[in-house]
Amino acid sequence: MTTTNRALLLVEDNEDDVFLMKRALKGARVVNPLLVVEDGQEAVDYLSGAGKFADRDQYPLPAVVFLDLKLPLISGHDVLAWIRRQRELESLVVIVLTSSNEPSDLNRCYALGANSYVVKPPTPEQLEELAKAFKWYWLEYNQFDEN
Amino acid sequence: MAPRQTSIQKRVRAVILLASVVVLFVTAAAFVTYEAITFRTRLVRNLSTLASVIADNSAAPLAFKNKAVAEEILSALKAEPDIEAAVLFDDNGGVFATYPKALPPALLPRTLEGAGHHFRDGALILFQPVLQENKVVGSLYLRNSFQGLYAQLWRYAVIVLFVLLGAFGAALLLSSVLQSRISEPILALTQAARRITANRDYSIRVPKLTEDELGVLTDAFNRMLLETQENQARLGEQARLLDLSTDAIIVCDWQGTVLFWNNGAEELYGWSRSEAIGKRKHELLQTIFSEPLEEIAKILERAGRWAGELIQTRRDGAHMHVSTRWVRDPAPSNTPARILITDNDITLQKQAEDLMRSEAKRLDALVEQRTATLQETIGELEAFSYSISHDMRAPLRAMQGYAKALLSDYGSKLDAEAKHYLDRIFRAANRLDLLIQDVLAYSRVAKGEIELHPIDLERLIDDIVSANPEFHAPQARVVVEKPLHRMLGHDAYLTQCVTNLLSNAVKFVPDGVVPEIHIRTEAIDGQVRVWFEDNGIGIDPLHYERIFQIFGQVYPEKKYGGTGIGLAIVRKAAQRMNGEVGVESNVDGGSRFWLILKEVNYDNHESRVTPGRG
Repeated sequence: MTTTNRALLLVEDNEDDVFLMKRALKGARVVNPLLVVEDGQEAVDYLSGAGKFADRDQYPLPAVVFLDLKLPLISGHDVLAWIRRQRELESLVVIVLTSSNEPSDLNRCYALGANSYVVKPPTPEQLEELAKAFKWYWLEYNQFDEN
Repeated sequence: MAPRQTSIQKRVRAVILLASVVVLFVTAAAFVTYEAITFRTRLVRNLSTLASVIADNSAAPLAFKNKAVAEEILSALKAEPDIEAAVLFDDNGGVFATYPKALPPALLPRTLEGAGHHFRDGALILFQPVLQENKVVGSLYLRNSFQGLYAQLWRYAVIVLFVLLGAFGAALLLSSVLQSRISEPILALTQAARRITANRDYSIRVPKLTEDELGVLTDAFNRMLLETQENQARLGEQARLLDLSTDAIIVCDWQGTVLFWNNGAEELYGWSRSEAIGKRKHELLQTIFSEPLEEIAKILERAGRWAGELIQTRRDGAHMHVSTRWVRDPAPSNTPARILITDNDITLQKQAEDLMRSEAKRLDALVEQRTATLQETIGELEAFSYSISHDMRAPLRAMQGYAKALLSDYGSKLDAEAKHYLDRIFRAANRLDLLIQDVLAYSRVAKGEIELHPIDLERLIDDIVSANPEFHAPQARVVVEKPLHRMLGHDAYLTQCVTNLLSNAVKFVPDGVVPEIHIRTEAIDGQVRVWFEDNGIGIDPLHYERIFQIFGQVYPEKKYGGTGIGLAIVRKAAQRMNGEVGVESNVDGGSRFWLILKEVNYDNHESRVTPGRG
């Protein structure tokens, strides 16, 4: 079991959710660097290394993206679709983290190539449980394509 | 009898009279001839007898030469006026005595002849010998004139003439009676025939006057009249009915020339019968055919009938749509075929159809437009729901999250009241989140098309119970009375229904009571009723309707929680599955909710013996 230390990217426009997510990951003792972008356009720019994100030392390509669906400028669905069109991002793990439990959202995300779909838990305790489960599965058990 | 003599009367009378006259003449002629023949013989016999008597009496005077006596004897002949002359000769042949005494010499016989008679000079001459003791003493000569005969014949002729006249009169009288018996029935027939021909009145009957052949003829004639009258009536009735029809009924020959044109046709087309007959129908009405006339003729030839629609022009120039039916009259051979045409006006119908078509088109457009508007609205509503689920829940999560974070991170620095406030914030946020989730659930079941499938209710309930800790021991007891009927439903909707009903059942219980729910099914008329019987606090029948309305909560939320949407979701979901939901009170407390859905049709299924069981 090799624990990865690669970066995680959180695409989330709501600062409360960013705060709670950071708190939950800290509570779960996730030590990987967490980078946050606040809209769909920024997410695309980050992942393609455009503009200020060109510096991969400062903005490393992440192993996992937490993707909210309701985003300014470019929606989460469109970001996901864009990711899956990029050859160099085909092994990127995308976990959709959303407040929507609409079946239509869920179906569409899997159809677009999401690796997982998680509804944001309502309480901080449950969110921390989720962070722990995430760490245990994705960071400890899961093998990433390192190329 | 008619005053004017008819030919038949004259002829019958003439025949009768002629026959009578001929018979009379023949009879008279025969009679006269007979008389003429028998008169001579009778005359000869009478004269001979007379001669014998005179000869006998004259024998003695002749022998004794007594002339006076002899003359006296002869004078007795006066009694016979037809005796013209009588002479007694002596045995020497000399005249002895004569009658009359002064006999004209012309009447004397020129010679003395032997005994015998002969007719000479218009008279009968007779010689008779006079005998005295068988010795000829002389001879007698008598001359009888024919005057008597002629007089008698004359009398006969007069009599015959009178008889003839009388007979003729009688015949004339009889003939007028007899001829009337023959000619009257014939005349009656003739007159009747004349009246019928003149007036076309077939109700006339000829009185039957005799029982003979003329009577039979009269009967036959009357019978014929009756039949003709009936036929006439039938034809009249048929013609009247044809004219009653508001449809135009027209008969044409094969070239389209009108042969018959009823009242309906007159009304429909404005052309009178006399104007139409003899004209070509399609020229008169400027017919526009839906298919070529040759094609129609072929169809008529083959199938005997054709129906279609025509556009024709009335006499006043108005165009009209006509529904037409043509039937070929199977005319007897050697007469040309005819076509029976029935037309009716469908102009209004056509206009109505056109109107309806344009109206339908307009409505279609309207529906399309409205549907588009509706779809737009639905889209907006969906966007709204979506935004609720994201945007409104996010701050709630933040409220909950910060409240919890505050409690756990700074709990040691807060007093009990501050902690209680934070707890209240957390609960309120939690409740609002539940509310939003229920509203979304309601809107989800309310929209979209669903398909119904057979549902295994036992498995569905098992899954729900095992997924929700509040439905099993020790918190609650759910008893399923297996087997359950299978039903037509929708997995997600039915799961929503069962979950909500169970949630209510475990929620609304008196303090200290462990909720217990019995689930069973019964089949009624192709439907399945699922019962959910609980031991809860029950519901006042007053509220049976309200609890199924959205936000129709009847119990204080503080005590039992809940959003007041759960049963509204159940009802909406049940309706979407073509079912119903309802409630009644349990006899020993608690409520009995029921859900009715369609039973799975188990026709041709092996478990048919226990339908619905599985």
